[in-house]
Amino acid sequence: MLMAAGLITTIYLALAAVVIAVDPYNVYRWGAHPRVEADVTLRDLVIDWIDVAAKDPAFNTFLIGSSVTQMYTPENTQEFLGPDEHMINLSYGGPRPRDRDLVLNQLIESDTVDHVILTFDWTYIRDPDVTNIYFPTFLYDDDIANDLRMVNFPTIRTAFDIIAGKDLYTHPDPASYQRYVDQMYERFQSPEEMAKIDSTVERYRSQIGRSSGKDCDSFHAINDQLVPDLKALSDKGVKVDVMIPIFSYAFYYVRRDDISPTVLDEMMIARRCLVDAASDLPNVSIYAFDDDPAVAGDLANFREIGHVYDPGVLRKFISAISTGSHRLTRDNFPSYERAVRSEVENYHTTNTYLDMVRALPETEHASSTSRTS
Amino acid sequence: MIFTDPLFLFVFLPIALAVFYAIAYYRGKNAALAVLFVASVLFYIPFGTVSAILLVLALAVNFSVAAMIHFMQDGSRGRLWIYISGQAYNFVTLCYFKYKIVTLIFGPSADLGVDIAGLAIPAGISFYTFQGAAFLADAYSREKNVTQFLGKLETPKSILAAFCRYGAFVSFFPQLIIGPITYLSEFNPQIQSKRFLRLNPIDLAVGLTFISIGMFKKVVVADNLAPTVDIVFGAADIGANISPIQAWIGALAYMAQLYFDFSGYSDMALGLARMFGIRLPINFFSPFKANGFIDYYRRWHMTLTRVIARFLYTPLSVAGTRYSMFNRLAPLPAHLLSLWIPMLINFQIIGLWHGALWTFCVFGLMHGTFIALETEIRASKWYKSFKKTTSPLIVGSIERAVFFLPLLLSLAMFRAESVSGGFHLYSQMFGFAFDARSLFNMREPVMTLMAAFFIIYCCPNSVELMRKYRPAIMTYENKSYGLSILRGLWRPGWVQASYISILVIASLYYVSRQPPFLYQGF
Repeated sequence: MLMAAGLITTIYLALAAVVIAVDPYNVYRWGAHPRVEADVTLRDLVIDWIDVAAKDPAFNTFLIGSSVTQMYTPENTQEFLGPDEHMINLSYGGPRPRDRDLVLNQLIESDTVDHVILTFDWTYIRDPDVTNIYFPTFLYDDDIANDLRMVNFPTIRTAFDIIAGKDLYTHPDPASYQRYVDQMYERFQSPEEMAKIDSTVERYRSQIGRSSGKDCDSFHAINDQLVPDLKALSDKGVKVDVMIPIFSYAFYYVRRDDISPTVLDEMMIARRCLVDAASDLPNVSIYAFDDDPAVAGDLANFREIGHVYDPGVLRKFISAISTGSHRLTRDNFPSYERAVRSEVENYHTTNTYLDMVRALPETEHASSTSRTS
Repeated sequence: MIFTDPLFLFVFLPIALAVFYAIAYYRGKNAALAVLFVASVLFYIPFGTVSAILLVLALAVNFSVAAMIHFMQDGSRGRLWIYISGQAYNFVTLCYFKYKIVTLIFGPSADLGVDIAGLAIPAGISFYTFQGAAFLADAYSREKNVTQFLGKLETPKSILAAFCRYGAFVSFFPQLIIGPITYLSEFNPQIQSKRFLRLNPIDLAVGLTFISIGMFKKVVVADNLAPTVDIVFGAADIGANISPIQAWIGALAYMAQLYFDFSGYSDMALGLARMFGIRLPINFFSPFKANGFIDYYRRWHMTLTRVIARFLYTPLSVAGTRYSMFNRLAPLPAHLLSLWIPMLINFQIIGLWHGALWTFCVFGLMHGTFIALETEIRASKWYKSFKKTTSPLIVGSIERAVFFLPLLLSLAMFRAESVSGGFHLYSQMFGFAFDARSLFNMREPVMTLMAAFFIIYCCPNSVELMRKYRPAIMTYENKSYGLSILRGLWRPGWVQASYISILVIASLYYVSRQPPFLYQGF
């Protein structure tokens, strides 16, 4: 028994020493300096590799988003923003204020950052200490004593890969993500799913516009974390484009069950507070597209109520940065807010794709359905 | 530091053990206990420097008061007042730092007093305050262990040594944050024993086994249930529609999460203490196998139950009974005064002990009512005759079936983020919102729940597993329920070491995820 304990402790401490000496996540000054392959989108793996990316001189543009922006590739940004934009996508699923703040802090400390594209997710209506439970905060906080937690099986494997000479990180299976997204779209685009959404919309229609009673002082994650981070990046001369993700209008009805019963009001106030606090900062621009019912009202564009699928809409989203269209300012925000509130409150489930499928004769219907998959 | 932190397990603990036994060998008991005290303070510092200062201050105040009342004459008038002021210090600091009483009274906009109270609740304050308060009570009643424990206190060196002994007793790191609340009568005989300080391989083997089992319970079982619990209770708090199946899964998941979290901590506490040659009182003994609430409280957080019963329920009940007898009250008011009211107050305090929240109040009210009702039923002629004429297996099964639902519902209220959220969850559990949007993928939580409840109801607990090695002090004499196949089977050997290694390696898989123990917040 004692020998087993001694063995486990010795092996663990030896592996910990190897991991910390190799430093596979580039959190220290010493060790290896692994890099990320230039045309790779890391998706959820990125939570461990924030420092690796932030310290890599090959990248100057950082997309800090959520599952909504995980499908963006470096080619997408270069297409619209030019060949000098060497983008890495640091989007991961379910960001929360505290981990988002830690990511931005790593970028503030980095010398290689020229351009940050940041999504203003609904998570900012949460409290500032709320954290994504899978995010390795111990890697990026100031407490060195908790760094031993990085010594887990994937990290040990990565450390030995580096020792073996493999210090260029890449996504293990890029095709699996596309399959996952396509399957999600296929499942979502069904009359049954639309009927469920429609019933939720009708059930909550009378309550959707309810006031939350909140004001700008209520959103500490914006006031105490995001705005200071934006100021710090702006002061460094970094260009920051804040994108308000396109949620479908149905999103506000369906997600009131797990975000907040007054999610529409809270998100509108939060956006207003952000625009008031940050739209005048040098180098900072804020963009939104969801006041267009052809985009946010049509569920044919979505693979889930909060996730756009249509590649055209996605390209439009990123091209706005280069053209400066759809920019929110203090002046145009009231009309934007009125439009979104009105569209959401008067929303009736719309899906042009399913309408088209229904209109087709039976044989074409079958072939159209198979085309989506 | 928390017990599941690799820094604690692989660095702090081996160093603390090595230094403790080395100093014990070369410098003797007092120096070894001083090492334990210093190690405990070092263990506590990561919870906050201010919290650590408060801990040392509480130790200094309680030690000084105990020493004073110990050496004062019995008839001395000042003795009672010093005792009362010592207990008042405990009570006031608890109210101030844990219950934020200043903020409650004056609101968050008041100045200095509120700012200090605005600190995070010091970790373990309820536990070390209760342990200190119990020690003071023992000192006041001249409990024989106190005299032996304090010694003569004639020189500065002997005072320092006594303070370190006292510091080691109250702040002993295996019990500091989440208990068990230990009496001096349990601690002192062990450190006076000749066997104390002898490095015994069995102590280390038993300790390591407890630590491995406890870590697995916490890191692998409880923490994997936590996301489901958070989702369901978060949705209930905002009044969301939840499908009845998912509402039940959420409530059951919390029941299991709390069980494995507290059980895991309790096992680790017993194991860590045992590695230093100390047996702690058992705090957790298969509580969900209980046949009712009375039995449950003899198995769940047993050391809190006995402290509250000693200092609150028994005096209240005795006072009520005496009052009823002297005033010749009718049976019903006499019964209310001697049973119902003390019971309701007792459980209200147990509820509020967890924090100043209305959900804890409702939880306390529920448990007080359930226990009083159970007491009445068990005392009734009908129940006695039913028990006499029916097979014990059937009686036990019925009792457990009846006990399960109130327990589940009360624990759901305990976890709820608000009372309305708790009641909303009840409405969803018994509602018909079958068309509600699915909040989570059910496969994994259901599999984990099934495994968790299999362990809860079909496996022996850690103390039963290792009963041959007297792993802990029995707080109450509890019956062992359930299958007896594995009881007492554990022996230190290669086979057992392999099992334990598997548990540790499984736990290390999740080592990057470090949610704190639930009871750490109480």
